[in-house]
Amino acid sequence: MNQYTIFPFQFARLSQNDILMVNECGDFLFLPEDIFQLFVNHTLPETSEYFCKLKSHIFCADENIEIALQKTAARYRTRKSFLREFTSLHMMVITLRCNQHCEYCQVSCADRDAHKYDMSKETAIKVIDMIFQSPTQRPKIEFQGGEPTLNWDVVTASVLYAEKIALQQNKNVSFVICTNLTGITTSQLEFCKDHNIAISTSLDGERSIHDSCRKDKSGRGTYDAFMEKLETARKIVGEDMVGALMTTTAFSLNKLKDVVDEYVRLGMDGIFIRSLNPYGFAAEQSATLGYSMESFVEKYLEVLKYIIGLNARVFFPEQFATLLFSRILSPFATGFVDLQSPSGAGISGAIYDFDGSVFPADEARMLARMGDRHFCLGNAATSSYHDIFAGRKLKEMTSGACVETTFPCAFCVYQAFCGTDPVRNYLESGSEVRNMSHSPFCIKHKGILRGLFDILRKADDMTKDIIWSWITYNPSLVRRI
Amino acid sequence: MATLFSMNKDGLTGSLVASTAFFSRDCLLMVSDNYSKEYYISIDAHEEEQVRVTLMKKDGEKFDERVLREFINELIDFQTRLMLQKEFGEIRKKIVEYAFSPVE
Ligand code: SF4
Ligand code: SF4
Repeated sequence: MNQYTIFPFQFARLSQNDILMVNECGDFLFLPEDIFQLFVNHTLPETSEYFCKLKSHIFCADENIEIALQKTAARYRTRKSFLREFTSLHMMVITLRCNQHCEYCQVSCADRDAHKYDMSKETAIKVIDMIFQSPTQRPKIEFQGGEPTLNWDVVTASVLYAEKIALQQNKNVSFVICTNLTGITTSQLEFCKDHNIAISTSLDGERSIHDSCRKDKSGRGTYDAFMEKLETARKIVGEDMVGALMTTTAFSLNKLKDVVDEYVRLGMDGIFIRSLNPYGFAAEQSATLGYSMESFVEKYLEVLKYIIGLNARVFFPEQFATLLFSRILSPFATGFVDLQSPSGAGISGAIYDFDGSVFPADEARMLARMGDRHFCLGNAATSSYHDIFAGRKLKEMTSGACVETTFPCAFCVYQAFCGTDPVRNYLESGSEVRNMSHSPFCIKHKGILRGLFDILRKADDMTKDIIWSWITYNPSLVRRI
Repeated sequence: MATLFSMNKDGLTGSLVASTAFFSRDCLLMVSDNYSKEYYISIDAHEEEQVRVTLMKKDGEKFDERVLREFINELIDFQTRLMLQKEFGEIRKKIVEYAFSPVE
């Protein structure tokens, strides 16, 4: 028996003879089965090449445990550095009204003239005061809806006020407006340009796919109106300031390559292949729009390989894979609220409803719309910052929401790259902490992470260059044909 | 850690006998949980220091014997995980403690 000390790690079999090992700081190694057995049984010779590898990646230490401990702790701290950016993403629901009626809409969009669902200027000012109490130096304010451009005065008032406070506090504020674009005006776009407001819009794919879900109030597709405004927006605000998101439905699940082709044709700077959020309207219509998470994973990995192939010609990252590859291959934290441990709900992102109610995540707000205010943290107009962000509710929710202490996550090899979502857990099981086995969240992330490690295991030089070009956002890393 | 596989004559269920001297209660339960979406599972006392695990597909399809081999491999892996957790538990605590202690 050799005297080395084994450091914490998790493992899984990727194939008959390949064991994937991931340690506490997210470093990974593939090991042949026989070597793995020798290692865990403390019989791997310390002179072997594998031992040196395991030691250099801190899966074990021989003499100086203290140094190995310090190194691991430093990397662990870096991976959890998102905790220091408390709370960076703030979403303001400017109105629940919308000019569209999309099939999968999660916000129970109100009619164009239902002004009672508008955020008032007074509430918006209180919300911004609260946002600027967050310790973060770089608050990001996202205007959401409904369709936020329908309550434009409140958007402009919020931006002007936030800019003023940011100047006073020497903070770096940034803005994003989530808009379907179809009703946006030239003067609104000019305001966005003047105040550096990024535009996040929705494009589900080519005309037939987009129009199958994204419809106006009379049920007509919105593709043409969208295209016209997309062009204007890009002209006025700049191409790099207009990004689009897609939602995969049963209509597009088998046509994801067509969706990608449409994004490439339009010169988009990448794509985020998103699965359908099974709540709100979409839950009622899941029979027509939905699919199993297993089939999403299968199709996602299929189209990811297609996108990697495309990158031999054109720089075009898939953004979810980019995010996960960054977690796998770099030591840094990635700010993705949906996939953090402890959960990012409330501590990385918060959402302010039109009436000032504060929620840790969008699903929590939807739940409240359905009558369950379990996750309401308070109201920006009446509660103090301390009550909301240092209150019992958020503390309790966060302390239970760690992969490190959840079953079976605590034993899962993908733990270092995954996260928890107490709101989703509550929606699905009635409890914030649940056994994650067989949950759609787990099926999705386990399936995709396994697929990504498989890509890494088999990657040739070109594939590796493509992956690194995505992580570093540096197209020139790939020598293109 | 000797194990014994058997298939029921009707081909719908498969069983394995596992030694409790080698596989802990937690290990048996956690691995069973992994199969519980697709299979009905029962765990019964067998001979001394042995249990019989019986699996039956929920969709009524024939049982594939390979699942038993896979199940036993999962048991071995899980027992290894539990053993390792014990071994590096203290180190993990220290890593977290160091990581979140104030930087001097
Ligand atoms: S544009 Fe957005 S808010 Fe409006 S109906 Fe569509 S999904 Fe809902
Ligand atoms: S949710 Fe699933 S994939 Fe993620 S850490 Fe937990 S067990 Fe692993």
